[in-house]
Amino acid sequence: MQVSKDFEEAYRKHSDKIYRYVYMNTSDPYLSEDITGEVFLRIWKRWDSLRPDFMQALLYKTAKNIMIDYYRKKENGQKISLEDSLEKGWEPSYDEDLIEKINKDENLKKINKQINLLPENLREVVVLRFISDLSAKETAEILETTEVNVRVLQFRAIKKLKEVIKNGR
Amino acid sequence: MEDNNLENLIKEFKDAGATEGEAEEFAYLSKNLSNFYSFRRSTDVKDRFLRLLLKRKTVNFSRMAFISAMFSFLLFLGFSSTVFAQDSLPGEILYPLKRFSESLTAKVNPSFKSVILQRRSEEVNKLTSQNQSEHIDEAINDYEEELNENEKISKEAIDESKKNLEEAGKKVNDSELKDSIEKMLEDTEKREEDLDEDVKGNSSTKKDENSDHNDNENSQQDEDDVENLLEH
Repeated sequence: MQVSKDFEEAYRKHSDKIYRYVYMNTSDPYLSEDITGEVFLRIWKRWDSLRPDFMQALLYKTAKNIMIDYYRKKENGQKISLEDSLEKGWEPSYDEDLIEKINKDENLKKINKQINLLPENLREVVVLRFISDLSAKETAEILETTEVNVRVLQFRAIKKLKEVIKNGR
Repeated sequence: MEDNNLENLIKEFKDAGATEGEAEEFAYLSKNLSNFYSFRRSTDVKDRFLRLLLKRKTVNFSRMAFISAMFSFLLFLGFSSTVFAQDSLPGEILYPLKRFSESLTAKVNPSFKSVILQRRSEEVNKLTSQNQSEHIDEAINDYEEELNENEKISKEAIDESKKNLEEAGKKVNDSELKDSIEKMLEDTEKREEDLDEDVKGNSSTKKDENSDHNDNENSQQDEDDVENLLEH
């Protein structure tokens, strides 16, 4: 069916980017896979009514909402939608080789730590613009701001990151 | 992503106020960052996910067929069950029936999606009255999804939704929930502005930007210190 094919194409195209985005925010490769799965599960449920030009922004916003939800509810000891999906028989699949590689990569951990030292607004731009490799326009859509603002923020972000890296020496 | 080639990045940094040297340095740092995070999950993991998910959709169709039969039975018995379901809220037994009947109606009459949006806002409002915190978050997410996904929403639905959200906002004491409802209102107002612009003929001409970009497949990490990111 064409619908499934279109979704499959979208999943293969975007899931790694979403995974990286979530990983940058959680530093947990297992949780990142769980959340990535939950993002696409939700998107699939609504696939028929999605605006195609809005899909990429929706993926990132959904990922962000799930992460916020996750941490807030975990703090309160509440069940999260992710756990709901798991209880309903959803079985996530993990790339153990990649996870091992990520966990052993001290350089990656170091740069993660340095990026996470940036103020949140600058960190978001770095993650979306240079790690997820989105355009300024796409980044602006996700952050609900203007392209001009994204370019200003990215300049400040990279400048600040350079200082953080240098101070890390 | 074409946007992110070195030349464009250098230009962007210069436009933002960087000197020539700074712009070049920052552009290289940005590119190096991108390469640093180029890891990808295996094809097996993705295949497995897709198999499970698409098989699940087939199973859901069977479930939908069962619910459809149940729905027809209820209609045969009388309107009352369906009418009663329309007042149900997230967490209640008849709520899935309400959602199912909405989706059926929307398929036949796409303009019904405006009513659906309004209902989601009513649900948020009613849940705040009942102090049902475990379902409010779900209701908020559902509202946001309806707001973002539907191309055409009537002015009336937007106005009613705003009214419901304002009422809901006045009732909550929890600051986080208050913030969430505030955000919903802001998003609704923004959507209203977008719709007004569309009506005026200023269509947003966003193209589908799902074009291929330069995902660098290089999975070999630089063994040297992270500071090498600053090197060209």
